Amino acid sequence: MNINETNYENYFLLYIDKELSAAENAAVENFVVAHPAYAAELDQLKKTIQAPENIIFDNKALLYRLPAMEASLSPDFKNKLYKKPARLFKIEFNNRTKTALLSVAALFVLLIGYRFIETNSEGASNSIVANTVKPNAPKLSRILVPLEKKDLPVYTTVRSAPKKINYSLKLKENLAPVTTALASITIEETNNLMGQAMPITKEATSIQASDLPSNEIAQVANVLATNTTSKETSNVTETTTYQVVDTDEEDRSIYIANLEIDASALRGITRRFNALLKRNKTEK
Amino acid sequence: MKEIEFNQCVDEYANSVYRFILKNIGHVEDAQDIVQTAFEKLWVNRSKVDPLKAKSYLFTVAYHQMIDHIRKEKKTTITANYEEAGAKATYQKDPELKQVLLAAINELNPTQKSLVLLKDYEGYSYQEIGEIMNLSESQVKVYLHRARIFLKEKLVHLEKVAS
Repeated sequence: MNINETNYENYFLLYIDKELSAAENAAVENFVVAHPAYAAELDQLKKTIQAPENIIFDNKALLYRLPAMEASLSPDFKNKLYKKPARLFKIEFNNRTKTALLSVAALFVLLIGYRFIETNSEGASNSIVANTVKPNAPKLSRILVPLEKKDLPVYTTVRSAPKKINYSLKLKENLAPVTTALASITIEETNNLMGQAMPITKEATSIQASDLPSNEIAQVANVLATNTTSKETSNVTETTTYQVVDTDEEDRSIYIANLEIDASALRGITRRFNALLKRNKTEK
Repeated sequence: MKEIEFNQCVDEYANSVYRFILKNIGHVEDAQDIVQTAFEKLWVNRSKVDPLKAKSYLFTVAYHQMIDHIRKEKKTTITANYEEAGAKATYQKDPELKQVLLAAINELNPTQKSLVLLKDYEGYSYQEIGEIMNLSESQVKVYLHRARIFLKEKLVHLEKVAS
């Protein structure tokens, strides 16, 4: 091995990296002794060696594996950690009790089923009533439904005398709090010889509303009024009393099997649920 | 490798692996995460890893994790911090050698920094470093020598400024 002025740097670097054999190390040291001018350079290179810092990894607990740790624990301490088995009670039914329980369950299921079918059919009949009235009713979100079927006005016939008819206002989407019989609108209905529906004059329109939102009453009154003005020409008048009653009373009950629950208590929840359903529908 | 041997590895090597990574990336939480991942991998592969080579294995896994991490971080914040630190240290009138050296090391690229740290802190041979960093022995030698010369020049420059 021959260290000279052209290759000394490479040897110096290998020397500080401790990559040389003992003989080579000795050769480098001899070279430095023989050429003191290069000693400083070797010193500079030695200074580039990093002195190891004492850095500690604090979270060794995260790294250890449990089984060995567990082995290091005392048995008494470990016993304290074990979960004690819960006491079990075994209940045995004889055949009689089993049959009784099963029949009770079956009865319950049947009741729910019956109640379900019943409520569904009620809904269907309601919609039929609404449909039969629809052609004659003012086009609004409200549908006028006669209180009694026998009083249903037959608009296609000619009427000779004023007649009072009670109309109930069925609220289709009643979300507002409506409590009592809210408004009654008395309107004179004129009879039309042509057999057209709803010739009405506005004269005797009175509204007695306590809680009904005023805009809704106004809406009804407006529709009735517009119907009136167009048909004012006829001779025979007939007084009809429109009464807004809270027909939603039945809708305010929620049936769960035979249990009737007042929906007003759950109004906030049902309203939000409805709004959510509606939003989902429109999004789709 | 069994649990006991694995936990011995934790005792013996967690600090060095952590020091190596922390010195490289300069971020405590990230360094801890990388160390944890390395030990996790060792645990998963414990049946394949020779307990005698566990240290190299840990350094290898940690190093590659760190490279991934650096790529993800895109070095932006890290280099900025290091440059700042380096500049400060260089302009100090009577700086300690250690501080200057630290600042100079932070100016090295990640590969060179890892090479220096593996060599000086852990005393690995060129061959072992090559295995850890997936480099040939001659590459390790060349890159490490370049890093040394760079560091030496920094020190020489400092001495000239001081005198």
